[in-house]
Amino acid sequence: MSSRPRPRGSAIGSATSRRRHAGGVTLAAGVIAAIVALPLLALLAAWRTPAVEIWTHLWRTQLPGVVGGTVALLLGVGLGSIVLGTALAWLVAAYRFPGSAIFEWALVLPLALPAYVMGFVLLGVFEFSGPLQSFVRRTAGWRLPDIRGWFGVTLTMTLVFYPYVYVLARTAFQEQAAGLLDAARSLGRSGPRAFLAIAIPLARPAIVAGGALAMMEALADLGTVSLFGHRTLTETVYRTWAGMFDRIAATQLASLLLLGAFALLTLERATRGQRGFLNRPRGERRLAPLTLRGARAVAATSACLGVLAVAFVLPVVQLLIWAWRRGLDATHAETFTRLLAGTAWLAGAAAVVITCVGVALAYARRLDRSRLTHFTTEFAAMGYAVPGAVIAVGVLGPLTYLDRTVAAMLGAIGGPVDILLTGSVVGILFAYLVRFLAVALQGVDAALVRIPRSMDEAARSLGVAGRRLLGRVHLPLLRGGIAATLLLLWVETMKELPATLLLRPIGLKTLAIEIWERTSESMWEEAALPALALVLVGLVPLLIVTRLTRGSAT
Amino acid sequence: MRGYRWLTALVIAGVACAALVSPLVAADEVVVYSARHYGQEPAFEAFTKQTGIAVRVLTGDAGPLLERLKAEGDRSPADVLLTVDAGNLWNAARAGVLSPVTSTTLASNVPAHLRDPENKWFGLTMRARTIMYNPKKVTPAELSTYEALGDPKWKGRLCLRSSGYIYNQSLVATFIKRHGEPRTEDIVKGWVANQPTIISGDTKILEAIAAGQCDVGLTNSYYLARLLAKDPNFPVALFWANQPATGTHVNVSGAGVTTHARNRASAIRFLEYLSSVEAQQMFANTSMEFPVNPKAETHPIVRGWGAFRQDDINVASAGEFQAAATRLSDRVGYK
Amino acid sequence: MTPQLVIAHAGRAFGDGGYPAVDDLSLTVARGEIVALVGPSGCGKTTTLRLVAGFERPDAGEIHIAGTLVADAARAFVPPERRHVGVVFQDFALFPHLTVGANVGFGLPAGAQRMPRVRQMLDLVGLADVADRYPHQLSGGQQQRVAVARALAPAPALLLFDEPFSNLDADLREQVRAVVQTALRATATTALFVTHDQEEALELGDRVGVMTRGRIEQIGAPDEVYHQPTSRFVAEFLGAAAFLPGVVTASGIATELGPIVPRVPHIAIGTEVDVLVRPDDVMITPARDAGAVLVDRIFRGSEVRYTVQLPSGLMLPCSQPSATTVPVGTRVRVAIDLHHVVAFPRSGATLRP
Repeated sequence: MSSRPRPRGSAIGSATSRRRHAGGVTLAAGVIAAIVALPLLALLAAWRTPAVEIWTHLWRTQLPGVVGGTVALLLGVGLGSIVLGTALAWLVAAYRFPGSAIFEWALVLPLALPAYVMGFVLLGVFEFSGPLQSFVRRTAGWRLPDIRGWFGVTLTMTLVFYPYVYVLARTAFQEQAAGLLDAARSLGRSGPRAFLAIAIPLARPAIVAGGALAMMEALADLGTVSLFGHRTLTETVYRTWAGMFDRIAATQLASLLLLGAFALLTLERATRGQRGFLNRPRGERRLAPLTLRGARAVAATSACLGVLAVAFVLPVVQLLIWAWRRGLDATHAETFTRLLAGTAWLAGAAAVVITCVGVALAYARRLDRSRLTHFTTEFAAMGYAVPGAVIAVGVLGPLTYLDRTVAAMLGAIGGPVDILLTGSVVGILFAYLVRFLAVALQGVDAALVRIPRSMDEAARSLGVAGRRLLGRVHLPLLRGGIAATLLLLWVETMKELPATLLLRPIGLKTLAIEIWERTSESMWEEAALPALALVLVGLVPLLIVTRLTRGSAT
Repeated sequence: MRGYRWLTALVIAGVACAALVSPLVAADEVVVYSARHYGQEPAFEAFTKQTGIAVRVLTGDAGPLLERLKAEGDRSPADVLLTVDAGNLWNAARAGVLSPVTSTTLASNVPAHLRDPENKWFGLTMRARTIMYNPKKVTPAELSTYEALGDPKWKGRLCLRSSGYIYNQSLVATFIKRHGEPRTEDIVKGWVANQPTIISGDTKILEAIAAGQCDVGLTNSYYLARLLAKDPNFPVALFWANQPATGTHVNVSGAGVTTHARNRASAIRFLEYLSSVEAQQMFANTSMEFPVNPKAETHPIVRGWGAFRQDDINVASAGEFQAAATRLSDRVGYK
Repeated sequence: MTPQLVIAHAGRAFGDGGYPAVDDLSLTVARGEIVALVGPSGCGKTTTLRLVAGFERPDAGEIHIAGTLVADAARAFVPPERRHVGVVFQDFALFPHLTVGANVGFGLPAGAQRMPRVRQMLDLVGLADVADRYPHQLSGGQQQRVAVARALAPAPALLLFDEPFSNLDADLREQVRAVVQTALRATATTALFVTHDQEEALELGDRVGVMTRGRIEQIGAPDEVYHQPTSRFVAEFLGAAAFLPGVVTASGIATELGPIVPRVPHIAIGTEVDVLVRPDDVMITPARDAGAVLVDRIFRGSEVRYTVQLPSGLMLPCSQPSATTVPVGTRVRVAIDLHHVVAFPRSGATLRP
């Protein structure tokens, strides 16, 4: 039949030393992770000079209350976003009702709103002097309770962060082997009982992952909690820094945030570990939704509409009203386009950088499953729970050191001595990297996990390994996940405020900064237009991401 | 390892490019790090038009901006630090980032209690923090001092900013300088005992008073001025606190020349211009604050409130006692 | 001729002091030979495969492929991508983003030779016309055949199969097995199969190795292993087995059903033994006065499997052509017709091979 085929180019490779390959990957991952972790390590380094006085004061007066407030916030936001996100995800995944096709992607929209924008809108509408309460007072004479405090901030954050849980849970529900739920239905457990007994436990890793993301955002937030007057650890960090002029104590406090982040990340990973059984072969039947009719259909549609109305339509409409009242003129248009361009460009560059590093680290984790690599990459991702300004300050240190060294070297060879890394885009990109690496790691990891090891091994048995394996097998299969991560990061970095504020080059302004400049002078109406622009610009990548994640199950 | 070589190369190339893109300081300009983000553009533009010196501004929050300045050290491109609240100015001076400026123009334009005794910074606009009230529910006769707001008759009728708000901290700090800590503690305890509604914005406090959520509050003067500019019938009135006694508490936004300024001469010219009547008028008209230069005029709305006696304690004490003020507030449970 | 694969005393354990998955295992495979390793789950067969492929490193022993040392317990290790060993996986592991043709050509260097070789391989597995389709458009059987073609394309020194047919429907299995066997013979490829299906192993392998607890219990030609098992375990694992107790005498083995001749030469007279009895060794004749009775009957298409209960209570399986069936409850006379006498001492020792 066939003549003996020509043997391959080289003979069977000669034996090589044991450690070489695993070592290279671990080293590279370790170096990258260490660089990213530098600002976080700076937080820990602050403990070198214990600020006993401040700590005693804090302990006696505030710390218990503040820690309690933080825990209350985390629990509230975590539970709220999990309940809301999971319920909506289930509605949309398991049932068909009027508008469900639209709601499927529309329910992600609130993610385009920065939490502080949602905060000042809700506050403006629902506070004592706002239109709603004034109306109620005028007509019914009731005095409604104040929206400020724990309730207001939890509500705001739940409405803005539930999409994290929603997206992950929805994907999990849709991809679960339909067979399991059909079996449950045939055994008489349908509807809510099937949901509770089967769907939720199977989707638990995704739900917890989403909840952990929401909680980490809540932990690091400053703008929204200040708006509602709710004391948290992050807010105390700022108070100590700005009020008591003590950066050391503030940094030490901030390192406590790392503890919180660590706990959250561990929780998330621990539940993730059981996800192995979710790796079902591709092409299996997806969940077939049941059609709802009558009262149930109405209820479902109303629920989704209600959430969207408060979490998206209301803020956008309010912003539109404010912007319209303020009016638009020609000079605005010109600076505006510059703002938009600057914001989009900076966020885009950040997204690319962070995704690359995320891919590198997630890949290293796949190749080298040692505990060390796992731990270092985890640590590097903890910046997500640390407030942006703290990270920014942590970045300043190494950056200025690098600056001086580079300048010294350049000066020695007669080059320009003026180059300033600190005032350049590098500093701010680095801060973004530290802050948002977790998003990239999670995104790429989730996509990588869906490539079974047997595919790696098949490729290796065919002589393709290392870089060629990455290029010919992994990257093509990761395209969807990487694209989704890029877009998500784009939205996140566009919304970022404190680190941008501190580290940006002179002359570079983003939409978020513009909003901040206005709202910090209580000029809500002036802030409306940039806020709207931010939301709209953030919608585009969000919608693309939703389309991507929807189709990627097959 | 091979796979990462191109990644490292990319990063190095990126750093090199980005660094080159970073601002190289040119001559004939003033680089300002400003924690003010409203109302100064007209004055800056006028300066450039008059002198031909460009003004490049980096806005930010007071604290982080100071950190950046400190970190940049002698390589910082900043010539001027413009910030709000005397406490922040005091802190900047203490951190060593500001250098003393001897200028007779500045000395004559800026009253002594509104500038640093060591001439490291100069107030450029003044704001008063005083009592605002609902004229339908409160008569001026019932009001007198900040301290009197602790009277039980104001229980449930008081609106305040949170204790972490910088201008509140400065207010309490000046109390400590004037009255000492024990007395100040009593004052603040009095406020707390009246269960004040803590609201997160001065404008929002004024709106709350107008809506009837509370009857009195403490805010900065210019917020009311801006509201009145939009709606002359806005139902909140201003009362100058502590008139017969120590005088109303005032604070400043101000600036100083940085220690490592490269355009020192231009920077001093810049400050002198900002303290001139022309610039002061611009500040007064745009942001409705009080000019520090006694020869400049205030905005008509502000003038409508009448003359008032200022507390002439040097505003630097706001900074000196700020940490103590914060601790005190924490102790008495003032949120 | 140097053997294509030599495993010498390989060992691999997982965890600290955990049980050894592979324990002092030795195996030699000649060029062009097909060897099937079969055993229950956990016996170490997959680990053995992965050691040969290079996805695991041995803690002890050595592995040589085509005369080259590829792994040992010290430093030597050739990574999988350089071993020229093809692997066919249970889940096919086809690249979903590449066409069938691109999949098959994946391990081939780019150039003029690639397309003809791909076509040749696809012809070999009978899938010449699907080169432009994507894996998810093919059935399970077709996907597995593509996987085989892909693994064969680079003319590997050795082809490893990891439970390749367990994801296929039963009837498909036979077809695909046949195709694979033909392809292997046609290319004279040396192959090592790992499976838990003993029927498959007996059908495919030139030699069959039965594994348990990390070692090869017995290895030999299929009929040798089936008819002359050297241990109870092998006897029970391959095919149905029952044991008839007896005692070794000078002339044979005395059992309940009469003497069995010839006796097994290397067991001492007087030893109590269990004689291996397969269903096809048992003859039944209905007889009203007989002592044995049929207690169960299972219809299996071409044959009927009866369970006969002897007067002593011992149950024996018996298979008969299904043209005539005998109802349950019938009394029958039982006779044993053994071509190979395999007896194990009751004390449990394994026979010397």
